[in-house]
Amino acid sequence: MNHSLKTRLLIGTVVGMAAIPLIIGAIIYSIVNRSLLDSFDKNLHSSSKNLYSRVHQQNGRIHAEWDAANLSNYQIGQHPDYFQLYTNDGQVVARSPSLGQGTLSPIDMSQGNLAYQNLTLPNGQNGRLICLEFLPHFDPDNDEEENGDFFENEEEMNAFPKPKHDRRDNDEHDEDDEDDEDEDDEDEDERNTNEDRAEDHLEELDREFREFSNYHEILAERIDYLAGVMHRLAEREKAQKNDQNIARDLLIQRVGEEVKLASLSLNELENRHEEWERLEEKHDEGDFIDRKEAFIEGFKKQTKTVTALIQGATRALRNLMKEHRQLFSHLKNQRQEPLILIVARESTELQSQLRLLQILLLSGALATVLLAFGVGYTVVNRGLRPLNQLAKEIEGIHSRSLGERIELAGLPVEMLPVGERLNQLLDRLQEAFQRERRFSADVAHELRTPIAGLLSLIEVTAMRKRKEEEYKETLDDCFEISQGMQKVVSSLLLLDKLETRQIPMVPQSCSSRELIEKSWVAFSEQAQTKELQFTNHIAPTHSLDADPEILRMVISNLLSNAVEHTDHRGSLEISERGPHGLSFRNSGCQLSQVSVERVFDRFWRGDCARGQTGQHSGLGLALVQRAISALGGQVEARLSGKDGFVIEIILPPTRTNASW
Amino acid sequence: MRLLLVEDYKPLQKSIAMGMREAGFAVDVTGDGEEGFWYANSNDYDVIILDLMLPKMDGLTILRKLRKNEVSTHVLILTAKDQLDDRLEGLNSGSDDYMVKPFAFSELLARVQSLVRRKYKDKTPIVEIGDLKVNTLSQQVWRGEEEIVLTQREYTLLEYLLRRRGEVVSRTDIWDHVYDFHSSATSNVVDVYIGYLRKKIHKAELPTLIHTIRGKGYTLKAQS
Repeated sequence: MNHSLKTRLLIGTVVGMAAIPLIIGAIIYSIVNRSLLDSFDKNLHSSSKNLYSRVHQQNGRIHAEWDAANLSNYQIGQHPDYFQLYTNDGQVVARSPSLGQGTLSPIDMSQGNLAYQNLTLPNGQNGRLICLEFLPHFDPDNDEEENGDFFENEEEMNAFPKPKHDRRDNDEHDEDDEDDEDEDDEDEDERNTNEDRAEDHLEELDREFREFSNYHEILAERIDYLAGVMHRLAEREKAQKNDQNIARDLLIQRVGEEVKLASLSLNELENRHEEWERLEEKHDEGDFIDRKEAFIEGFKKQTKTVTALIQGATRALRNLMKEHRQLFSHLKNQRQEPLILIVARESTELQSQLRLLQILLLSGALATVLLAFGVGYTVVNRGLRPLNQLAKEIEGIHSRSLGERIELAGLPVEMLPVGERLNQLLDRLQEAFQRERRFSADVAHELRTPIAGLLSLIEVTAMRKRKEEEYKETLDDCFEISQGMQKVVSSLLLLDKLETRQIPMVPQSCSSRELIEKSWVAFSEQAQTKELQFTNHIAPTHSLDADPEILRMVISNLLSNAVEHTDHRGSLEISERGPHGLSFRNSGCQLSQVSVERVFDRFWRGDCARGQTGQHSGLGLALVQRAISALGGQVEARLSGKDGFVIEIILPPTRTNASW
Repeated sequence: MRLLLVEDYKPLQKSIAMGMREAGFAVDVTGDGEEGFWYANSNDYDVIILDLMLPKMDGLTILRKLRKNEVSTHVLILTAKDQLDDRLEGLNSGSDDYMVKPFAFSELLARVQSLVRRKYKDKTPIVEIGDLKVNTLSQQVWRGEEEIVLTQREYTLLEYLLRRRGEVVSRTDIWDHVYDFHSSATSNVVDVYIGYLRKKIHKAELPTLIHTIRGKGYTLKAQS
């Protein structure tokens, strides 16, 4: 199938021009799309951060410290945002009121701990969600505070109450423990006998009792605190421990018992307060002071014991806590289970922006395509106009108007060679046409005459009944005419073959003299009749390089022509013309110089050759010329002297030129 | 009727001459242009059939020279040249008809006869004078209802007289138009043939048609 140059150019132009805006549009769209999505996602992320940054985990429980401002966007409304908080194992921790019956499902986050996705929101709008995994803030269980208490209370406990008089009397008791104080008290009992002093002593005892009472309250608080810490420790260990540690369990248990013991001892001390009250009531009795002193003494001893107990328990507990922290510090982070937060928001605005951009870019591209088509069509059409014009001009040239030529003036430079070649082609075509027309006219004429003869002879003979001799004569005439026609046709075919070089030629060295003598045999009778004088001047060594068949035909035709045209008793001479040529000369020529130039034309005949029965077709010399030309040689005819006619043939010296 | 054939191709010379003679024409033949011109110029032919490509002098030259010499003989060009230009040139050079080879002899004959009729101003091939009827195509002659069989020469003589009916035809005229150069006859042969003809067409009860004008010649007339 033939493809159209115009269509090709047009498609090329349009595709080329359309591809550019399409590619640019696609790039712009992808950039804008990404940047819009990025900013949307950034917003979404910051909203989610607002939420997840306030999620805490404490004591294994998750709680969010969201206030109304944080949640204002997530209420039921026109265009609410949505969120849903999951634990790692898929349990819903919290969800926005705006969700209603709807839900936000976690999405695949294999790429990281953050993912975005488009979705259809519960209210049916298009939206986009962020799904992220995060660790909630981990709030440790106030361990440090407890430690602080420990130390503080310990110091408080060291401020054990000390009676003033002891300090004054005995310097060695200053900084030492309870044993020394016990001795001081015994000394006191021995010395105080005096009334005044007794009064002061009593007062001092009361004060001491009050001091102890206060101290006991401190101790009670201390025990409560220890018990609380103990309890929490036990609880936590139970919850956190993976493997059973019996030794530690026993230790905890023993410390617990110590605390309990301290508590019981303190209770006992508290009970002794009532004993003091009863002692007060008996202040009239003589041994009141002594009994009071004894009581205080016992009170002091017991207090010392309890204090020691508490101090021991405190120390043990402190160690336990220290161990606990060491044991479970690594578990702190493990216990922080990641949470999954999904926040969704309407993206209709974003999408409408993107849609608008799409429409703008596509319509831009479409407009460019249309423009490209228009421009391309015009340009291509205009560019191809000379081609169309040329085609039209060529179309106008047919076999009857071969004289016309293509106008080269208006042609573009690129098409100038085409035009020139076409004109050259037309030149050759016209020449060939003219030659062919002349030739076919000649053929028609040459065959028409004998045909007319045949028809006329046959028709006239058949017009009436005739004698046998008459019929025979007509038949003879017809036979002769047909022979003549056959000769013309053969000659024409041979001519055509010579002209189109269809005859295979095998050049070889031929003896000229021998060839001429052999050919002469056919004409000798006619020559005798005309009493011609035939002279062959060719040396026996002279030879020609040519195809023998063709050369024989040439010589035969030349001899025939010469014998035919030589006058009665005229002469015919053949001589060498150089090493590769022959010259035929005959007398009796009646041709003019103009006629001589035409002797090689097809069907040209001198006057004397006409009027026969078709034996002389006027093709003989034409055949000679075409054959010599086919052999690569030259042939020439000229007048010589008064009535001499000379034909010379010259063949090429080497056989290479003759091969084809 | 006398006809000149100028044609250099022997088979055509032969066949046309034979056909024309058998059709009642006295035919002179030549294959040479110069000879053809000389014949045509010096004889009163009824029709000349002229080829164009001739040795020595071509047909158109002969024609132009004849017309220049005021020879008004009807000329039919018979040639192998069939191009329009050739035909126009031939007709415009003074010929009366143009025929292209190859041709049907019957057509050539009809055209030649047509030219003869034109010369003697007849319109139809059947000519009647009194009760004598002659078909110039089939060469049949009737006197009344009776058909008369004539020899070639007698018919040629009758036709010539018939063409010039009512006129006085001299012996020379008859000689010129009934006999060609091949005829080896003497001049009194005309009288002999007139005698033959009279004998054949004369009927006792019917009026005489061929009259002798003494000292001048003969005339063919219905009433004397």
